[in-house]
Amino acid sequence: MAELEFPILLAGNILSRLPAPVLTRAAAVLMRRLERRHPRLFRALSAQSQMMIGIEPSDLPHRFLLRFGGGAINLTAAAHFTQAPTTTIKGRLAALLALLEGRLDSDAAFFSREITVIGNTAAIVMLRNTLERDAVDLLAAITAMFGPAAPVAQRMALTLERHIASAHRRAEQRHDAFHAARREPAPLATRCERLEREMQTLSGRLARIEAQARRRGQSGKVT
Amino acid sequence: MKRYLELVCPAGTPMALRVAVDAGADSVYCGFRDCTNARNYPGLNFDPDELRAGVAYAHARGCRVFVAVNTFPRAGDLGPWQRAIDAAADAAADAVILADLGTLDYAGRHYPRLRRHLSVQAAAASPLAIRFYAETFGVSRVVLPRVLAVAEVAALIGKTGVEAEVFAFGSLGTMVEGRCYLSSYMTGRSPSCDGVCAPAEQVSYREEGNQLASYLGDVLMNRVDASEGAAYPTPCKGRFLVRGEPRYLFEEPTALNVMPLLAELKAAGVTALKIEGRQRSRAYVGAVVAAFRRSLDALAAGEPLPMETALRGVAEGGRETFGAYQKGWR
Repeated sequence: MAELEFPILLAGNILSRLPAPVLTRAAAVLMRRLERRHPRLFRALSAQSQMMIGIEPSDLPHRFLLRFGGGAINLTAAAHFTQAPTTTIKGRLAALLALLEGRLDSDAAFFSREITVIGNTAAIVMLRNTLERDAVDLLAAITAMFGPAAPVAQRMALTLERHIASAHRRAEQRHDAFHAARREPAPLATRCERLEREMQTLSGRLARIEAQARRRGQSGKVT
Repeated sequence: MKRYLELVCPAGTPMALRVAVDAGADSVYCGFRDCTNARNYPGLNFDPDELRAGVAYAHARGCRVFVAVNTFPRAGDLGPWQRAIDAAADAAADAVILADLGTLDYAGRHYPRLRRHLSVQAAAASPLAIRFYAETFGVSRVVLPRVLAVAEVAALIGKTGVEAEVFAFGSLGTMVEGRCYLSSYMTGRSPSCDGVCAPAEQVSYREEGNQLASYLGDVLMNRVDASEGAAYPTPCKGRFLVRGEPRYLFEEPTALNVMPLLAELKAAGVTALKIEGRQRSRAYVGAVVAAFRRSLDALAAGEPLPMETALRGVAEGGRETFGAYQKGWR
């Protein structure tokens, strides 16, 4: 299981800026890396009959097509599917990568609709169960491309992720503060109605206290 | 520390087995990659070599491994089931979990020192049935069906003297186990004989307007709105038209969780708790096993139960129930 969580904000920023052909070339390099790190996983997927899974990250402008079986595996990026996949999985990039790395329970994500599966499920169940047999560490696989500088690249990625996360938090705080300042106070009529209700309550309480005091005065009790 | 209740945990893959052992399982159960076990899904389960390695890993850490060979053989084709029992014994498994009379007889004759547990698939829920299995086939443990109240569990244990293992978390399973053939009418396959009631190749999801529809074969199982949780596409969890209204007829998408009943189950004489979910991910296995480990250790030490909120996140439908253990409808 991955020791470090994947820098998802950084990945989202980069992936959404790259054109699909560049992403497809990068995916080919990554798949070769992953194959070297997880030969058993790739052998198992290659040995299947041909399957095609569409991957739709809801927070990216790209779609991905994963083909495996029949002795080959490849991942391509596109704005739209030109071929209809047998199954499509949809969800936020963070959820999809957590599934890939085995950090998220796919059934729970499915129950809660964090992910959606469309189409026949044979390919996706096979892929999920095959991935479950291996501990894929995507960050390690990507940063390994930097050779001896891999640990430095990993630290840099995580540092950038922290910076992006804190920038997001600051932006959210400013956004909230801006809207709080713009928020209109309750309309005058509503406030008047509220004050009137409070006055009625207080008048009632005062009347009860006065009546109580009168009864005590008549009976000569002093408290 | 003295063991409070044995924690028996699921492993659908070798990786899940290691996660379960590391998270504190006392025992792990798994099956082979074929129709001999009741979780026969593509890409899941063990081959004999993986089982041997898994048993070695578990034994080195004081954890036992049980092998489920718990479907019912096809007429005249006992071969796969016999080979599965042979392979479990060869891998030095600690027990085989069996349901069929023939497999129980085969295991008893060929491997008398290999413990035999009676699978929930045998649906043994009476003292007569349990004693029959114990006396005839030397069954040392029975996995009780999920249809009994705690008082009924206690009465059964008192009348049989056989170790009882009860379901603690996961799928509810309200059918008469081992006799459910609902799916075979739709797919030609059943959990009892093929180890699968919603074969992945027969399940499909379609977006229909704002709804997500699930189909088993050509049969519509359910339709959920965007704001609604999804359910497994099995016949028992489908939505049926009842007086014109679509309703969950047999079972709502809800998970069994007996965490607050652990002391009652212990007092009832239960030996072991079973976590359901060999088809679930290793993330599920790690979360559930660790939560039950913490609770059982706290009870063993005489401490109060810790608040466990993580389980709702992996519960089917995001909801939990005591199921039949507290028959509130009576």
